[in-house]
Amino acid sequence: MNPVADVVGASGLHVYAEIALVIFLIVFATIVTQVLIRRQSTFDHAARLPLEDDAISPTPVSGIPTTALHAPTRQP
Amino acid sequence: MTATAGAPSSITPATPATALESFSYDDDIVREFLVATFVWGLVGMLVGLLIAFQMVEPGLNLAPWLSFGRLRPLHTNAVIFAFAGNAFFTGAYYSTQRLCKTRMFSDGLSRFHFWGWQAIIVAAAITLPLGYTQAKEYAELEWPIDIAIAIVWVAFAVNFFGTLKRRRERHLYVAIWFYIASIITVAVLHIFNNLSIPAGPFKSYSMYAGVQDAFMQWWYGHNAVAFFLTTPFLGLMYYFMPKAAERPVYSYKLSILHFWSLVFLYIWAGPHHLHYTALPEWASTLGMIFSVMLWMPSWGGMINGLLTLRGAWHKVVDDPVLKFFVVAVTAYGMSTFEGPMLSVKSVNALAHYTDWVIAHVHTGTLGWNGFMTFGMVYWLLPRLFQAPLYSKKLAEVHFWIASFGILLYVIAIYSAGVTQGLMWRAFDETGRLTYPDFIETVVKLLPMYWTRAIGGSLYIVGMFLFGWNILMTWRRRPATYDVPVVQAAPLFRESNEPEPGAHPQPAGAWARFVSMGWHRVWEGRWLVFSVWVLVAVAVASLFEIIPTFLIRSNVPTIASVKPYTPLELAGRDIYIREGCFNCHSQMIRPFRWETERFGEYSKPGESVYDHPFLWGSRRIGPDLAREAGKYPDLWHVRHMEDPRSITAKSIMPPYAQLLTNDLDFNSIQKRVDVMAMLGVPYGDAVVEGNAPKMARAQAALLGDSIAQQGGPKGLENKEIVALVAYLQRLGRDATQIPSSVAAKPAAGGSQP
Repeated sequence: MNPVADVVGASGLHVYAEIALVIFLIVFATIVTQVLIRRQSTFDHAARLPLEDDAISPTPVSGIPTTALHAPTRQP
Repeated sequence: MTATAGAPSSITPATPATALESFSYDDDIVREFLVATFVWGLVGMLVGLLIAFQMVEPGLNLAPWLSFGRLRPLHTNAVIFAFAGNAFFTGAYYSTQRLCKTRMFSDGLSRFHFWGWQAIIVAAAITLPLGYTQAKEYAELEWPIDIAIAIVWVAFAVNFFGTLKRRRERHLYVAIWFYIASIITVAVLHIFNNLSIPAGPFKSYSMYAGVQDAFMQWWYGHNAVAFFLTTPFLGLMYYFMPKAAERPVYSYKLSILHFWSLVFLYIWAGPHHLHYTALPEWASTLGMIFSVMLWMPSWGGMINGLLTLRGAWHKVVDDPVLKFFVVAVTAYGMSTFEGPMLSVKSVNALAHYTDWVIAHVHTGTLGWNGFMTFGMVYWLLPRLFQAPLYSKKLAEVHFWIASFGILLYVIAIYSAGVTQGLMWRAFDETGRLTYPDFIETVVKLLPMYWTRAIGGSLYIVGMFLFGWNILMTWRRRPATYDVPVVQAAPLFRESNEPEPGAHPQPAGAWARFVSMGWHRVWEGRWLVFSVWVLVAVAVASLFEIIPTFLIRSNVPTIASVKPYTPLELAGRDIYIREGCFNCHSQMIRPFRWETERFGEYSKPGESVYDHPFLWGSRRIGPDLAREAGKYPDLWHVRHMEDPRSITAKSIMPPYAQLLTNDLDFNSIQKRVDVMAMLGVPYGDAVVEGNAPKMARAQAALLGDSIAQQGGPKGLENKEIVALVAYLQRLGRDATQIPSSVAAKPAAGGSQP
């Protein structure tokens, strides 16, 4: 019914699947460790993004000035 | 990029005086999705309430199109894709524009996305009650609707990525990452799980069969939970939680870890839905290990969400928005602890097929998705409708009623799950099943089902209060909405710009690698970032899925297993149409308590012709994998006509219409032909006209047999004969039961 299955089944390709799994885990572990050793302060700009998006920043925090001609919307 | 003519393509932005661009956000689309969220949420939950009551009062299965088997998929599809889907779109359209400091890429695509998605929901609400289903959980919709979903999703993706391309803020905030992962992965999952061959305008057969189909389905099913109910809502959490708390997320670093862990790990976890089934053991073990690994990052995310409120806990006391968020994030933590626990094989052995899984899901959906949505909408209402919230007090009442409703719901259903699981496996001192009658284990649960229905009702009362608050706030809106004009500088050659306030790049390749400069580049470049997400998802999927398809030893064939006859195939399609798989599994696990009750355990080779597989995921009724020969034909006829005439306390809906509906013999040829196209060896049956002829011959014999047993005459051209033929075939091939069932007396228990 499926000759490909016979060929692949006999070819010992499963080794590649195991290698792929190991590579996958190494890449993942690398990202995790690299993120962990970064200084928190490098993310300060990014972390504040949601808080700046509809308010006028008196002093441009990011170097990219954002302003609104009208007050954004009435608050509750 | 719309660089102003003559603007220097330098690495620093031009001076604000010359470079500012004016634009406004499209909040109309956000308002539209918000209203759709509420409307479909109410509909989906009311359907859920109806099926909850049907489980305690089967008389509520008022019509074929209102019966449990057809409405249960409507409930799940409505709350997942209509309620949670529209909630995600509401929050994504609001936050993406603001985080990118740009209007959506195309207003036309936004409208197309909105109306296309609502049309799909309407199509689902019509076709599912009519019995058009692919029989795969959360992927029930038939092929024309699947194509429409793919088109609308691509439109959404184009609109979304176009917006990222036109953004005026270089850094992509972490919420956007979660949206990117969701959009890409849902597309991949949807397309590959729904590959099928049409056998009519609203009928198709899955390309995959048996084990492979099960594997694809739960790769999809689990990741639909991950990338439709988890990552989109985490994106919402990372945006709206800081908004409501008025402080940045506790640890941005942790949010990056959270993101990559979910993208890398989630995709492998699907096989934990198939523990102890005919799935190869390596796949199921892999699924378990990755599921357990998911616990840690998920809790990292939960802690990150809760600690965002550091120093702001006093606000929780009088802000219903924060109250909803706190409970939502806590529910996320509870279900992401429970999920890994349930994926451990020994726990799963008890929980699988029981209400425990239903309770687990509802902690996540009612708590996490529901409360995130409520909190987000209450926060958005005054901003979108530009009027104060109608009643904060009402929102508070909503919070308390819904919280109490969730507690009632899940505590009752956890008890039901554990109770039934323990009853199924109980043996008495003589070594026999303590509760050999399946119905005993059902009747025991009825008080808990009542409690669940009451809990669900409370949650829906909360929904009405929610709706009232939305309506009344909307009525306070101004005559025309104020559309603020925002100004921001465009980005020039984004990749060359240094990150504002960034630390200088260290020299040397290794030092740069270690400093994660490459990650910062990803974060800035949406395309590179998206490609890496796709690679992570695709690699994991391929290496998990391909071996089951290609390595024959994973699915040992059984010589005696033959394709269904044309009549049985027609019966199987009726079984699918009526949604029988929602309550009956066809997969006996290799445990003594299962084989004692249902017969020999199921083998992978038994379902090689099953397009789609029908293993099921919940046993509200008994397993049917070895149903052949257990009861006489007439028993099945009577049981379908009125289940309670056979089993007084049964909660199964009646299917009397099957005794009067004419069987559509003419459509059988097409069904057989499509099966043959998929590789099922149908031999002579594919010759035009043969399949209906063969079906009629078998139906005539079966009709006679039913009449001889004292049943009604003239059933040979009714749908019931096809269904009975199918049920009397289940498990026959592998266990070699003789086919003359007519003469066999009813055998109550297990197989010979």
